Amino acid sequence: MKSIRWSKEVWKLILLIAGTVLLFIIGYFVVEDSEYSSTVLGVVGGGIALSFFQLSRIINFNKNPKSYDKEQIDVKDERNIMLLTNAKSSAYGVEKFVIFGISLYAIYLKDLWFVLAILILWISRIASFIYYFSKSSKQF
Amino acid sequence: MKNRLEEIRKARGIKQEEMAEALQVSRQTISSLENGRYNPSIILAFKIARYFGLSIEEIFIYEGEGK
Repeated sequence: MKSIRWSKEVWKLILLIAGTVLLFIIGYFVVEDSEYSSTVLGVVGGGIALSFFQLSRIINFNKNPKSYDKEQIDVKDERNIMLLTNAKSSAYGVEKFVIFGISLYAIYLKDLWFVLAILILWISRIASFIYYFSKSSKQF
Repeated sequence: MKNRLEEIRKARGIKQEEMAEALQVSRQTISSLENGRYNPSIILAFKIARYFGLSIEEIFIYEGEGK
């Protein structure tokens, strides 16, 4: 049986709580615009949910250490990794068409900042694809 | 690629869960291997062969492309 890496799991929880609290402060005290403030507070809700999820994981690992082993095996399982990689690659392919549709909509709206944001998204996708393709080519 | 995993495992009275734990893979991986839906990496194939004390060729049967 593998020993549970408590520090790693507890650090994840601490970072989640710290991030959530920070976002709450930003959303509640710093951002004055009610629309942006609501958006940030919405993200805080997600952060709280993730924190509770991480806390429940830690409690579960404490009660049942075998579940930690099982999770670690599932994470490192080569078939799971292959499934995840295939799913990500398919999602990337589908995303391309969705972003293309949003690009057309942004042009139709004639909103310069929206168009620029979409352009940055395209550039980052293409640049990251080239970077990881080149990195993998050298690695394998 | 065909394999004799299920046959060998059952002959030795080993459960899928036990084999999965020993090889540090998920039970679903063992099931997919036995059904021939998934071909293992060369490292996992070696681990399986060592686990049973057999050679890779005694477990996995390569039939060539398109078969």
